[in-house]
Amino acid sequence: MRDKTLQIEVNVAIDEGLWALHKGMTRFSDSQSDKGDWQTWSGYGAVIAANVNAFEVNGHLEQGDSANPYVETVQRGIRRLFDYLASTAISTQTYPDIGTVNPDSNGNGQAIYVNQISTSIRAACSWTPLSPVVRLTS
Amino acid sequence: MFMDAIIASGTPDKLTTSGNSDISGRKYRDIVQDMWTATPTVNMTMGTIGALALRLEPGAGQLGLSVGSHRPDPGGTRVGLDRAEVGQTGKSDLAGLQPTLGRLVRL
Repeated sequence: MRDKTLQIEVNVAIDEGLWALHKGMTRFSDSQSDKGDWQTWSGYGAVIAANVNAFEVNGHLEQGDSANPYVETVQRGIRRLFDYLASTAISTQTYPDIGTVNPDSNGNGQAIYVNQISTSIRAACSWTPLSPVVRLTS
Repeated sequence: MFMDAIIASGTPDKLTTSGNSDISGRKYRDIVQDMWTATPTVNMTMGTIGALALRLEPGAGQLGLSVGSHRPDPGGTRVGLDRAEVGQTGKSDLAGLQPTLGRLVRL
């Protein structure tokens, strides 16, 4: 048995975290494919993105070995991610202090965004100088 | 964060098999590029498209979520911890504030 070290403790924490994510995923199928998310933990799509990223940066990829149980979790999660995206037409934009620019880097006239934001955050996002501090902490 | 997850897949030419008709069937790399296209717009017109920018400012005595623009000192709405809350942790480094940030992110 190895001595207890910080690095080992870190690795154990990562392993336990990924296992918790794997077990905690809500799995379902729709007309497109098998998917999964963590809606029972949080309804925000960014949670899926963060959790999928946690698996990926630790080597558990969508294209990985099917014998790896985390691969299926990543596959479901990344499919679910795309459900949260929407597109909108985009053209030249005029920004304060910058002027008019065309942000459409590939020229297809489309921009894709995450089609989810809470009402309270949307209200806080109205971009006005001198807007007040909004505290989310309890 | 969405772009991070898609990029970290390491399969830029893979085709999406989910999402609405504007999303499904497109390459991952094209999705990310169009998300990047949206980014400057999001920075300036949060109310229209909507996004949340994260900016950590421990050196300024303020650590938190910044909403409104990636530009320095945009005057946008700021959601975060003030100096007093940083002081409560007894630490000024990011690691010491992770539990508090975790609560913020979950919200």
